[in-house]
Amino acid sequence: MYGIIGSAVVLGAISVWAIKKFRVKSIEDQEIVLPPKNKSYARYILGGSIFGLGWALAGACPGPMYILLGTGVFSMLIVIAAAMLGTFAYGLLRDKLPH
Amino acid sequence: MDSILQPWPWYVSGPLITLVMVFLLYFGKTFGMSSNLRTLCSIGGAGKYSDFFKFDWKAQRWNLTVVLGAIIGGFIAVTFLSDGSVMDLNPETVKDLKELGFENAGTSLLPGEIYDWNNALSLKGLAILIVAGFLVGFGTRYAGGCTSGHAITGLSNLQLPSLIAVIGFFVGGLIMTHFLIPLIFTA
Repeated sequence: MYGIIGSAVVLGAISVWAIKKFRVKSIEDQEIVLPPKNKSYARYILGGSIFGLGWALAGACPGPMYILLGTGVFSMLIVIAAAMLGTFAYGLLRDKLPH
Repeated sequence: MDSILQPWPWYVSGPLITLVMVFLLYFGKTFGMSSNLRTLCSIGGAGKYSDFFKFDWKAQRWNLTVVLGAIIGGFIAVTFLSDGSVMDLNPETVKDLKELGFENAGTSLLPGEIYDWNNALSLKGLAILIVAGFLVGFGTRYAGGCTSGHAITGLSNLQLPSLIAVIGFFVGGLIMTHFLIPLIFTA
């Protein structure tokens, strides 16, 4: 598991570095820009930890949820629906949460 | 040829994840699966309740196509690229999971004790799936990304906020695994 994410990130960092260094253009001939993340701490550590709790309990993060659905685990639809509900709840509470 | 039917080694699957990110960047997009949850909310009319969902979701249709691809990919992987071999799970982990009542640890992609329909529709099972999904959906949007957006794309772009978020992912994950799951599944 650490090998998978580790190799993905190391290769990813080299790729992103190369894309910036050589100013690689996208297929639409635009410069490739990765949107920088907002600078803050609260939302990342709080939101990240909440995500982590669900990630470990469900055994899936948002990408694999769909992949596992494709493997025939249809009860994953319950998790996906609940995840939409969670995102909706965040949208409602966003102004009241520390960011 | 046989090796393609076995679980692929990390030095194949990891770089393939990078390839997905690079492809999406090359096509002028970014790799972030959880954004789809917001898009789905907007399609469902959530813009009536919060400005957070008032955005041009039609411009995000490409990302829903990625979802479709992920579903098809999962189907192809289990139908054509798998001989049903056991995944290489740490024997210690398998032992720990068996103690909690998960009999098939390592032999199925997800525990039947949670995801089989008769368990998923029991009161406890349903509560677990709903709470888990809710936390994922809430947390990922609060943190501004999930494993693909922060751990892969953000870390590759050397973003400090993504590192903080990923640390949060593991803080939450470890708390759930070591403290909460034993409570939930022995009760």
